Amino acid sequence: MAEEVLLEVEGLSKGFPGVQALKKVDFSLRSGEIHCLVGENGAGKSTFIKILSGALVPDEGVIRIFGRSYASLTPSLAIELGIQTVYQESILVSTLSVAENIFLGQERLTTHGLFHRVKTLEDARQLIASFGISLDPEELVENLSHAERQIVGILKALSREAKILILDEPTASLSAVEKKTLFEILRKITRQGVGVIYISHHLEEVFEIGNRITVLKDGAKVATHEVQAVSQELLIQEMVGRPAELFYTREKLHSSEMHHGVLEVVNLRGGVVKEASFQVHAGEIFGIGGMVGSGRTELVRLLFGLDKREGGKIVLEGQDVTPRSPLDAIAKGICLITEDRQKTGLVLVRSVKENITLASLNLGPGEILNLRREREVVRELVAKLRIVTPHIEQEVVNLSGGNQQKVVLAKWLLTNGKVYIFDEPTRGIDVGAKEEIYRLMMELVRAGKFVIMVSSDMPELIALSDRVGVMCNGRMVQILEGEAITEEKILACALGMVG
Amino acid sequence: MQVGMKRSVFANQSFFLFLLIAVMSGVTAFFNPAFFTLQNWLNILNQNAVLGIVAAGATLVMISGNFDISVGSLVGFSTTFAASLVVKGSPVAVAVFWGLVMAILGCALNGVIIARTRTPSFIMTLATRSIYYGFALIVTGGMTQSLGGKFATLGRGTTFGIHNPIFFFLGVYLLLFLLLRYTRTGRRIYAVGGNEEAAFLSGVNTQKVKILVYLMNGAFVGLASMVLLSRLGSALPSTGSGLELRAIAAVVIGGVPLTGGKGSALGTFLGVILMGLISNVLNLLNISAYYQEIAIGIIIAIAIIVSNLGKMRQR
Repeated sequence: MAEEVLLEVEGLSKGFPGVQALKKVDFSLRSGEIHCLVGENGAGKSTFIKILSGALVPDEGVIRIFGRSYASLTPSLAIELGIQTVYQESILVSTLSVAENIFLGQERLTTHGLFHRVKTLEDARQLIASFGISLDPEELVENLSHAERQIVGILKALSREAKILILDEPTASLSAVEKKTLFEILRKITRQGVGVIYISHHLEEVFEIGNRITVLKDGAKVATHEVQAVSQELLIQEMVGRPAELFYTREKLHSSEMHHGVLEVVNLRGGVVKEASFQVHAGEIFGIGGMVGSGRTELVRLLFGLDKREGGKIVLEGQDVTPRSPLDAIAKGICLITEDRQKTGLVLVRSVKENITLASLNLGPGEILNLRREREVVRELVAKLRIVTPHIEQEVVNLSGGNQQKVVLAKWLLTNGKVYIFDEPTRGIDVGAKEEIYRLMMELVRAGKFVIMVSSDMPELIALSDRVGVMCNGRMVQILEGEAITEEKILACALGMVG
Repeated sequence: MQVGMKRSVFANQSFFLFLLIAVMSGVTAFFNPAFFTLQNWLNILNQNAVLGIVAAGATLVMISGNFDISVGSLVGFSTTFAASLVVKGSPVAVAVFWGLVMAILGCALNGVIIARTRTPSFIMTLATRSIYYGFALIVTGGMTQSLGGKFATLGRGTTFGIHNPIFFFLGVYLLLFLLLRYTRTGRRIYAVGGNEEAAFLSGVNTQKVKILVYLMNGAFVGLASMVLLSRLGSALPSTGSGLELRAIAAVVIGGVPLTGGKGSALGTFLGVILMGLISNVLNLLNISAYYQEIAIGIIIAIAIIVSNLGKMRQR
């Protein structure tokens, strides 16, 4: 039973105009195993799972499921065969309840063919309980956190008796605790014989949960490893195609290079944030850690003048710069690189050029644009940040995640602000692009800017920050420095275990 | 790099419209040589001037991701308001001034409510559409307001042998082109339509942009109303009814998606011309006017399908 092969793929290829997204990929999935798929953005992971879920038709290759061969699948056939896919942004109807979402498309009906509300709730409650999660089946999905939605998406897939479960970056927005819950669910279902294809950028996770790991690079398979027989370094080397540092190791500035200004946040309060005070020195990165929901994002929203402030102030080099609105914040030199670049960072249907200059429109002299100067400035930034785009009139929607993030950065570099706040700067970005973002953050530091960074990515938080302020229940409970910045310390503070 | 450039030319809605117009013109000219006379083209421009000016305003509104379906009623209200002043003995200039003011006020009110209350513009202007139509009924008591031959130059006169509305029509599109391409406000209109939240977080005063868009729409609607009033020589509450939907159609044909964020002056201009051309061509080919509605419907459908082709191919 344990070694039964659920899925076997041979020579799978798929081309799009201008790109060969998959090149003769072989893959197999055994019952009860978690097979991780890793690779940079654009390595072909998404194309691969889209083919398995029936959303794309391959050009070549065979898909064997339970011994039967298929040249291609359709979404309904994939579901019929027991293949369930949970995407990064789970597709839920936000105005329906948790229970209704779980059973959408396989509604519980009464004998008269009407919607059976009681049974729907009951089944949902049972399903939720069977995984030991606490979630109200009657709650509307729109009231759920990102993490809870993710879990509903997974429950929905499991309710369909999935035999093969495909998860695309399931932990992108989960906190440490929620991640643990998810992993427990996964271990439980694999014991029941379900096979899981697990896509992640987080190698620690892959090592924690995976049985086998397949590395994709530029559409081709590099290797498949048993998890015990491979090191992180080797995986990164295979993903990037060159030897890489395990984590980015950043240089700290010498004291001679240190700048002297101070940004002071004094007793800032508002909404979820009950109290936060800290200082940031020019030329340092101040990290903010904490669980999802601890008030990290709300804190940076306050710093940017987005939410209503109930008290406190922000003092920059002796001047009160407490912003009243984003517009006011930008005028005072405060920039916010938001967590979700597609939703809040970019105007996807507009060009690279227009996106880069959007926040600087106020800074020019008047109403009439100087298009020639604009093009020059944008070309400079595109070259400096190595943004890969055919031309600056390209719509941002066509760029890869890493390049989109660089466009956001370029936009804020152009405003020449003093304070740069990053909320999850490298979420959903591949290894190569990550390093480039880090390099740019270091340039800001060297230029004497004040850099504040919220991150759920522990290695990132630890490697980049000079100091880390930890949020717990809306308060900044501890500020860690130097040797004290360790994963254990941060986690302890975030969980409220500070003495 | 080359591939990207080429694709963008063919994906360009204006290019496709231009092609469509060229093909239609060629076919019609083959059957009726009268088509390719300067006079016929001037007729097309003249006959579609009012629609064109309204569509210019609708372009701004729709690029910003909004709608204004009160425009038809507002044309009825502002024309009857101006006409009733003339009937009561006001000088034409005063009447026209108040007609313009009413159109601008009406649209500005739409804009302020939509921006401040963050309500969906479609529903809100559905409401004001009814209100403005009611105003027009009250002003007229349901009766036709005739100018008695006054104020005919604007809509019916000619300058250098060219009908005056054509100058307004072309002038408005020149303005629209400059606004969208060369001004900060134009840039912000695109940004607000493309992603309001991202624009706001980039320091764009999105409420102000929306109100400004509706204000400009009001100015265009006012101008269109006065051209129409002058041309008709009289006004009814139902004057201009259905104009808003024809304008939206022209804008959509011209390449503005219903979600906003994209579009151009040239696109809408070609959209208006195409709609005008269909009537003109069917007339020249002696085809019943009844078929014109069907033809316009088919063209709208084709335009939307073509602009969605890119998305379909991505699958």
